[in-house]
Amino acid sequence: VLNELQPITGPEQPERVLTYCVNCNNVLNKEVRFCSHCGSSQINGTVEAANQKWDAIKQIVIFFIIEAILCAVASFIPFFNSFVWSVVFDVMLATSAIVFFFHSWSLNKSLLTWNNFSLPKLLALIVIAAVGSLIIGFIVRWLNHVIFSKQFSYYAFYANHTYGKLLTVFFVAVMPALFEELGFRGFLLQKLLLVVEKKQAIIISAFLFAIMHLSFISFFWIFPFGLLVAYVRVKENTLWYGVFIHFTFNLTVCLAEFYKMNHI
Amino acid sequence: MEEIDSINSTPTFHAPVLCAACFKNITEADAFCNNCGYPLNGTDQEQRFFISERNSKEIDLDHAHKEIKKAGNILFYIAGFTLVLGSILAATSHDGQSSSLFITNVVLAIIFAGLGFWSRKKPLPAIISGFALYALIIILNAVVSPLTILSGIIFKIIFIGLFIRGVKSAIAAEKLKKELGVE
Repeated sequence: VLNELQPITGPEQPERVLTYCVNCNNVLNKEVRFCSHCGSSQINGTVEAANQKWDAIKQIVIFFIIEAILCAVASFIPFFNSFVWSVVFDVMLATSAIVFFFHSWSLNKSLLTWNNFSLPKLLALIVIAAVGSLIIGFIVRWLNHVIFSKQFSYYAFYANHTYGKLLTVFFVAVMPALFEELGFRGFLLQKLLLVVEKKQAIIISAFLFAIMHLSFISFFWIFPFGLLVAYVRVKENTLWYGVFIHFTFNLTVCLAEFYKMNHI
Repeated sequence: MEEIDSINSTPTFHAPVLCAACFKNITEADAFCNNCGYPLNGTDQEQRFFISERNSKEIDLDHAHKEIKKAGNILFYIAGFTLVLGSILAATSHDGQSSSLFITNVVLAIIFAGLGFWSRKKPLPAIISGFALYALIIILNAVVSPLTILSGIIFKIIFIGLFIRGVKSAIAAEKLKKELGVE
């Protein structure tokens, strides 16, 4: 019996894996949909799979709408445009990411491990993130100046504070790196993988991540950024490379701003 | 060519037998089709019952494809609306924001149209992305000025309803395709 279950490989036939019929124990090829002996279906759980997909989409929509409302209120209502409120909204965004991530803990827990840690890979990704951030930062400043004729600074928001620079780094680099990764590459991407193929899940997660930033120019660099981070996350099956890429990218933005400030 | 030669030289070879329901290859030893479960040795009544069940599933699949296409078309309608409304708003605004307003709407229209074309090849991801962007625009407008949620409310409800049906149909189509053994 054991010999029968070995894969049969030959020049004409691609690799075939054998299995037993769920009903009559007739030996079957694994891709077969119905038993040729008793006719019972070997496709298990198509109905459960469809329900699971619909549930996953509902959860994705709820997560997305919560994030969208929080981001929209924080960015577009002048009343909330203060340091204290920005901290409150950052905490709420972080909380929603944590709640959604841990709600599907059994599905997501493997993402927090870092089994195939590779230092060269990590360093290469960090260098790519830093260089990419510098190039994009330059282009974005130029575009903002030319098209929208306005200047934007992350630091300006925290400048009046005693520890302005530290706060800038914490709220611009540390918080997003941890909680946007947890929310978008953790919860969201993992749910999408239940619904669509890998490639499409990567594209959707990057698209949702990009539009969530509510800025037009940013869309065209956050989208490729999201694709890279989501691709690494799917390929390596860990959140940590993404956390470091995200942190390096945003930290470089902060440092470039501090550098410019000191040299003007 | 070699394969055909070797097949022809086999004396016991019969012309390939096809399943009467799904037209996939079957062997004579099979009592049921491996691909669709058609009872090859069943009674006339059993076979007719199977075919009628299969036909009703095929009709469901056809219906699902139509719903999916409708949801894809919504993406084109939204692209058109965005372009027209964006142009009107840009032409009538006087606060020096007209160029950035126009660019914003043109970019949005291009994204929606792009998603519309993508929905022809990959309906589910395109509809999910389009729905998310549409929902985000409604939320943004509602946050900036809450009464905008009422403008064109009927269109909003219809569009969102069709998106939801598109997503449900895409999931159902996938399930039906698996059950029918078609690609």
